[in-house]
Amino acid sequence: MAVEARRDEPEAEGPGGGEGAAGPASDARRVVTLVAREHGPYLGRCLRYLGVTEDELDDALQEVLIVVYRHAARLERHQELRAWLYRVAWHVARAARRKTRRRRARFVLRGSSIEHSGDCGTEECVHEAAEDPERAALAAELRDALDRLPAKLRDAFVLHHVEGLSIREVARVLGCGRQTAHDRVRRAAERLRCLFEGNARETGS
Amino acid sequence: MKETERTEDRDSRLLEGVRRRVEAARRDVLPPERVERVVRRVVTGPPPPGSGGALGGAGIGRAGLGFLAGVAVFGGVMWFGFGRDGPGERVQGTEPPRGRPEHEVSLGEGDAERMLQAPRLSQGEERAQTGRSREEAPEGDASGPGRPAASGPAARARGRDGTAVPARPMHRVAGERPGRSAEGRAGERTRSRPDGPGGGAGTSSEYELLLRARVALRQGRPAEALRGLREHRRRHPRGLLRLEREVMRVEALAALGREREARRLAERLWNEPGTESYRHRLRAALRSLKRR
Repeated sequence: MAVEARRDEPEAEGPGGGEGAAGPASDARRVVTLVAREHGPYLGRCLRYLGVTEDELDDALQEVLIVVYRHAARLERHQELRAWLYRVAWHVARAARRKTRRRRARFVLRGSSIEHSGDCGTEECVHEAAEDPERAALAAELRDALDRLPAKLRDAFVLHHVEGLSIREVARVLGCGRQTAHDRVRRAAERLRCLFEGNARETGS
Repeated sequence: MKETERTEDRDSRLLEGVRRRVEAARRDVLPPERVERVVRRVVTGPPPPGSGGALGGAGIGRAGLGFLAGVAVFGGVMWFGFGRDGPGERVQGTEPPRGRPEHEVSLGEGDAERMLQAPRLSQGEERAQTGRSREEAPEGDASGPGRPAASGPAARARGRDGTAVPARPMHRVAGERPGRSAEGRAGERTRSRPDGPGGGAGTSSEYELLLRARVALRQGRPAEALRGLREHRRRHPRGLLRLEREVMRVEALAALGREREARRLAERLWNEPGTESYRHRLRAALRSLKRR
């Protein structure tokens, strides 16, 4: 990571120095902006495939960027920024999934139904789907299938195959051994294949 | 090149039925405009309600205009300052790189240095002044994002190095546009209140008041901090940073040695919903009382 913080600088103007003033806060904002523009689209995709619902996606990405903001001055410690970012995204996604699960359970208990918002209602997604409906349909199929996998398998699969992280990085992000990560990716792919084949048979018959 | 080889290798291992869908998923990156919107929420807060721009908001008084002008100046400074400093091409261009992200942010050494050259109080100095140190956040910050978003006040005004930290996203309330930062919502809320904050000074003043109080507290001036907190309570009685303020009050009272008041307030706060993330601070404040 090329970002290096200078710790031997004199005192900043003060907390009330105004948002436009140069200072740690404005540095952090710049770091966030750069990181977001470089990695934001991919982090968004990662969150989406890790099970964050579309209506929570912006908030989840914001959470990730806030963590970047908080760590902006210390990012030089993270030699592998990408893996670190994905780790943060993974934590955020897990929290979002838990929240969605709880909310859904609450709705079920109350006797009302809540639709899984796998569909994206935002303008951009509608536009995307209209642009390339086939791709959008395939991606939606994958998301639906991923929803049916155990979280551990899903996470490993998404990080490795969708996000392109190496097994070593996946292991680091998930905090497990390499062999475990490899195993999860393989098992997830197997299960997905079964799911898709089953769907195809049902559709065919 | 290496990345491409790795991807191909991975694809060859991937089972046929899954491959097409994964390829479709890989192109499913978030649109740059959407990322931009989130970045804006983090770094500046959202635009005021009413798409007519800054002046579209109803009931914005003179101070409100001042606040908006401040935001505009800040935006201008960031925008042009960045353009001048080097990474401008990439920052100003709204299009993020299409390729895979590298393992490192592709900032040049010079760019990064310039970015972080702004004068700051070093951690060592700060700790020396305050005589307090904070626990390091774990790598990956599992604690931060791992918490449910609604478990605390939507914002924490405290960063490790004394900087303002942007608001956490909260649960949305019905009818609210998705994707608003808590900071922005606070601004809206306060703007829409008849007894607005300090004549419509907005969230920035809410932040600033708390930040001033916090610095005073950290620099060993708890009485001044308490005055600032009182001012905050007067101007933002139901502000978004209410819990932060109350916790800081406990800390300031503890620092002043006003044990009974500190304990009473801490006990009241302890069971209040949303204070879970503040409990370690309450505990630390009460512990400091015992040591006296």
